[in-house]
Amino acid sequence: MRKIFISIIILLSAASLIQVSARTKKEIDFPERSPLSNFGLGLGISSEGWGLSLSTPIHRAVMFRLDYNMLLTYPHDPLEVNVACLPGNRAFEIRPDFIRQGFNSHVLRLLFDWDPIRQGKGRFWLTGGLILQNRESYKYLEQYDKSVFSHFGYSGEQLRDVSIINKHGEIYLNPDAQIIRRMHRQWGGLYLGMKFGNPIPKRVVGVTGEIGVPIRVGTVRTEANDIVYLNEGSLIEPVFDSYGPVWQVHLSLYFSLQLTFRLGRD
Amino acid sequence: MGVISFIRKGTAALTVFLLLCSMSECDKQSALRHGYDLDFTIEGLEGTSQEAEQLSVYGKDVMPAVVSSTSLSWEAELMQSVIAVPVDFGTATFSIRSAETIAAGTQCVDGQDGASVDISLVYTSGGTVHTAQVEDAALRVVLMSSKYATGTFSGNVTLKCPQDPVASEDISDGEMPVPGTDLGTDGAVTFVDVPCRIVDGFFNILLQETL
Repeated sequence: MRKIFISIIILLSAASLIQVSARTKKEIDFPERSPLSNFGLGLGISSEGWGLSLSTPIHRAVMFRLDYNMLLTYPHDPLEVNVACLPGNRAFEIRPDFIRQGFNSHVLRLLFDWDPIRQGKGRFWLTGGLILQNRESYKYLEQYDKSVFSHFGYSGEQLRDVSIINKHGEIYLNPDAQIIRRMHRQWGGLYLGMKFGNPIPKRVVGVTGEIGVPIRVGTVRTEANDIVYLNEGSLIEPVFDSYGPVWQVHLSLYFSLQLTFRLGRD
Repeated sequence: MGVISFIRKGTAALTVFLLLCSMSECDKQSALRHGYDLDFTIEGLEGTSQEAEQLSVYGKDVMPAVVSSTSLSWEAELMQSVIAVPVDFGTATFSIRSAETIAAGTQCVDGQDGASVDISLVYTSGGTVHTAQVEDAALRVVLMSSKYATGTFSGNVTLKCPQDPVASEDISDGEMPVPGTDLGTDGAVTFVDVPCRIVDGFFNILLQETL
C-alpha cells in the first residue's frame, strides 16, 4: 500500500513538472492570490460521507481549508430470536421489540494546501492538517418488552440481573429492559494527503479530488449498558499501562471528489 | 498484489464475522440446553424437615409438549434441591385446556372462563407412591413461538408426609436418612396431610413439531 502511495506521488509530481515546461498563455493568466483575496466553496462526497469545504489563500501558494464531512446512516437490523437468561438457571427465547441503530460521524478538518511546485497555479497540492471528530459515533438500542420480565418477577433495577445473549454476546439489561451499545472513537488526529485541482477554481466552477491518510490518535472503545466491553484493535499501540493501551494510532485511507465554486472575482 | 491482499483480508474479516455469529448461536443453544425447562418452589414443608424450608423442584427430563390451538400438555421427570426431605418427587403431568386459542398472554385459572389446569405430581413418601392434584392451579403463557411456550404457574397442593419427621439428630449421627422410612411403633407408616404452595413456577417447553 505504501509503495502504491509513493508511486502515485512521484507520478503526479513528474506530471506537474512536465506541465511547467509546457505552459500555455492561459495558465500564465492564472490569478496570483494574496491572503484572503478570494474564497472557494466545495461540495462533494468522500469516504467519510458528504463533504463541505471553505478555502481561502493565506499565501500565494498556501490555502487554508476548513473541511467538514458528515455521515449519518441508520442501518436496518433484522429482529433475531435471542435468548434471555434469568437468575436460577432459567433461559428462554425472546425477540426484541425493535432495534434502532445509527452511525453519526462528524469530521472537521483544518487543512493547509500547499503548491510547492507552481506556487498556487498548479493542479497538485500537498495537504496536511488537523482532524477533529465527534467521539460517540455509533449508538445501538435493542428494546425488550418489560412486561415479559415482570411476569417472571423482574422489573426496574432487578432487570440488571437478566442477561440477553444476542449476536454481540451476553449483555445484562438495563432497568428499562434495553441494551444500549455505544462506540466511542478517537477525538481526532493528523491528516496528510494530496489534492488534485485548485481549492479555489480559476473559473467559477471546478472539480477537485483528494487522496490522503488520516492518522487518528486516541482510544476506541465500545460500551454496552455502561460497561466497557472491548477496546478495538489498532495498527500501532505505543503506550500501555496496567489497564491496557492509553492511546492508539489508527491509519486509514481517505478519498474525496468535490465540485468547487469560486466565490469572489480575482 | 494489493487487490489480492485486500481480498485476502476481506475474506479473513468475513470468516471472523461468521465465526463470531456462529459462536453467539452456540452460546444461545447452550444457555437453552443448560437452563431448566421446568422449575418451581414448594412452600409449606418447613414443619416436616429443617432442610425443606424452600424446596426447589426441577424438570430433569421434560418431554416436548403436545399442543393444539386450545390445549397444551406435557410430562416431566422431576428432581429436587434437597433429598433429605419426607417427599421425593417423581413426575409432573401438565394438561391445560383453554376456552380461547393458546397464545402469548393466555392466562388459565382452573375452573374459570371454561379453562382447566390439571397439574398432577407423583411423589414417594413413607415408602409409598402418591399422586397429588394441584388445586387452584393457575398458568400463564408469557411467550409462545412455533418452537417454545414459556410461562409461569402456581397452585396449592396437599402432600402426604410420614407423621414422624426425620430428626436432625439422625443426620448428625452420620447416617443418611432415607426419606419417609420412619416407621411407627407398630411398623406401619402414619401419614399426615401437609398443605403446601407451589410458587414461582417456570416452564420453557419445547413444542412438538406436529403442529
